[in-house]
Amino acid sequence: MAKNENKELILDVRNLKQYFKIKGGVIVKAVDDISFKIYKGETFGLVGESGSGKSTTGRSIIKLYEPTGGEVYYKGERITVGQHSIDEWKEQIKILKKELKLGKTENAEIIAKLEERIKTASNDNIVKPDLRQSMQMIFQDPMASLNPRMRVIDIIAEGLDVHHLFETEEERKEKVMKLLDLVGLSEDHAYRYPHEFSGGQRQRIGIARALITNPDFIIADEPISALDVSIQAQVVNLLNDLKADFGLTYLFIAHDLSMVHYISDRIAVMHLGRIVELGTSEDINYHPIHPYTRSLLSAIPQPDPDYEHSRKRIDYNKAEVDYYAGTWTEVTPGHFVLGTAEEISKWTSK
Amino acid sequence: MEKLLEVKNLNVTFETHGGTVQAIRDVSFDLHRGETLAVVGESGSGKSVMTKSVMRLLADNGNIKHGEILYHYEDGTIVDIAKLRDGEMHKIRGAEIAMVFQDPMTSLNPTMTIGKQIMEPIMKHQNLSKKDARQKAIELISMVKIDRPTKRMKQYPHEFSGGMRQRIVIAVALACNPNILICDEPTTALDVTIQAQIIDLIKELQQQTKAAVIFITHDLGVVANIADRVAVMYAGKICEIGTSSDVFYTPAHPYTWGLLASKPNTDNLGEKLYSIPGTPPNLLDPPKGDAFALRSNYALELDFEEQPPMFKISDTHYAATWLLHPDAPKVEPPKVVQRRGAKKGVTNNG
Ligand SMILES: Nc1ncnc2c1ncn2[C@@H]1O[C@H](COP(=O)(O)OP(=O)(O)OP(=O)(O)O)[C@@H](O)[C@H]1O
Ligand SMILES: Nc1ncnc2c1ncn2[C@@H]1O[C@H](COP(=O)(O)OP(=O)(O)OP(=O)(O)O)[C@@H](O)[C@H]1O
Ligand SMILES: [Mg+2]
Ligand SMILES: [Mg+2]
Repeated sequence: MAKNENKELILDVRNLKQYFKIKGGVIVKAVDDISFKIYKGETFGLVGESGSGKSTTGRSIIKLYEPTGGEVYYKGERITVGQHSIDEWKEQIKILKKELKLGKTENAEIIAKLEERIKTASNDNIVKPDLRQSMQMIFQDPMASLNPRMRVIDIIAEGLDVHHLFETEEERKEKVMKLLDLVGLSEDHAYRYPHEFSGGQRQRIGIARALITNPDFIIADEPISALDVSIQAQVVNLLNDLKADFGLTYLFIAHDLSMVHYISDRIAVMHLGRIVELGTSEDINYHPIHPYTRSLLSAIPQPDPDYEHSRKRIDYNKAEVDYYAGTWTEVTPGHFVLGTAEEISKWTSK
Repeated sequence: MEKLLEVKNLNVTFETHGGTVQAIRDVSFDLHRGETLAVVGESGSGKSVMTKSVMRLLADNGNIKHGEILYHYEDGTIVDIAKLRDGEMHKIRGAEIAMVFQDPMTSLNPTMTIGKQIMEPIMKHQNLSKKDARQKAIELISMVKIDRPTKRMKQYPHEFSGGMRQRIVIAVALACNPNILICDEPTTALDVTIQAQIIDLIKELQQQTKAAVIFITHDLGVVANIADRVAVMYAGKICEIGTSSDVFYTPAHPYTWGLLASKPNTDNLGEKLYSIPGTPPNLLDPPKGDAFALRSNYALELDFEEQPPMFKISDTHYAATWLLHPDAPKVEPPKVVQRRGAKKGVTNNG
């Protein structure tokens, strides 16, 4: 998107891969070679079917996993280098060294450079405390991510405690109370335990916890799907206000496309570990190209019984599209789709 | 239509440090064979507690204070679940009434393989051999659209995505062909395509088995798709109940109006979403009149003083607001809501 060129880049994900080995030697390619950029102050929506790798993407970015491949840059600094790249460089060094022994003296310099690269890569892979403070995640499963033996006040204040962000006990309490209020909970909730809350209330505790360190970038993994509609509206307004007031940037993972459409500036559509389409909210919602995106849009439920009872869904047959044959193509400025030239001309002519 | 369940004047409380939480306050409704009743309402309004009461799975600090939960067996015998001994309840749970819980991670055992968790209830209630139970479990996994079912049997919950876990929980609930299936937000963790498939699946099974379904969800689009009737809950009470058409096109309670107005649609992109002002009432000390009055622009003086009864609007449609009293002043619902009635049959979202 031309507009983005003079915007500050906050997150740059390059060829990220996250594979998992499961029993029986099977490898699950949860995230398979995805790239995207997020600019300061924007909300970047990530949608896609269950199991397509959305949460894994978020978790890899925030360094809960060691990515298999690719690189992640945060505010211009590299925070992640995939193990694959490091292994590749090591292989190269081996070959170069052999050649060096055989008299290829010019290899010495390249080897030194690669060794330096490996060293900085390992350095970059260390999680630095200021990154923990500046990048926060709101987790998908609120109950599993809240410690059942901690009081709400201590759960929310955890970030303050870890990063020593308060002077007095009074100040700590004040900060927590302010956030409780912000997310629509009351002061007397502070001294209760997670099991005493409803699902939606727990999700708001998770949001307060993520906000307390004054982060710049928030990965919100389905932050509103456990909330009822009226609180969804409150939380979405809240996220938007924080964005306007503090210049926050979001990676917003969700499956409610009408809400993603409403909140996001740009949207990426994931399927089977790949990003199949990326564009502005308008591109994706009104001019979708990839058949998977179209099928997804056709399945959004509308709060209208007559419409719902007569709705026609577009089925998507993934056997017809080979993701490994396709290339990442910019169809109109800023609107990308994964496909072969042939496929894309077929999809766009419809 | 044949009644399966009658809930009469149900009151449920929780003892906490702060006092007694009145989570369910005088709730009554019927459930008929083959129908789907959707339950919507604010977070904390009591949707989960109401259904957990039916399953007699309240937390230790919870009590059914008052009221009846009458279950009609196929042979005509009626039992009051509220007073049933634990031993008898075991026979109902899973076999007659099954429940899909809101938080998939807490209803799956993290240390047990998926296969074992599905086989257990089958072996317990259906007297199948281990071999047959295994076969049935594999069938159930593929029925909820998870690939490689045989391999999946050996995996553990953490190796599944959020949505896949939820589908496993659904498979467990369906294992014994229950007469009543209670689904507590079964699709909130799912993307729209899988959600649509799961909903179709539930509908299909319902057609075959004539089971009744209680479906709790925040997604009004899903409600519009699946529900025959809709109950709207607020602060531990049902404030409106009617057919899907009653509630979506001619809603009568101001809380329902607010709920319907908070959904994003093409009319409000770029605007702040409507969100109901204020916070839900404190259930330690519920207000004496209509609990929603404090947050309503339409409250009458009487709404603050006295609990409105369920006014009958039609044979199918009831709501608890003094606005329905013949002497009440005539008020106009918000424009968005008026448009719904006028636009009946036409979607308002692109
Ligand atoms: N720790 C893990 N070990 C093995 N496999 C995993 C692990 N975490 C995720 N996976 C697999 O990776 C794939 C992507 O999972 P992920 O949780 O990222 O999906 P998602 O897009 O967030 O789905 P949902 O919408 O259901 O939350 C799935 O096939 C899942 O089984
Ligand atoms: N074990 C408990 N102890 C104390 N209070 C409880 C307990 N369980 C539930 N509550 C309270 O009962 C009320 C109803 O909770 P419930 O879980 O039924 O809400 P819900 O309508 O399902 O909300 P959500 O949509 O967020 O899941 C809430 O105010 C909650 O705080
Ligand atoms: Mg996820
Ligand atoms: Mg609930």
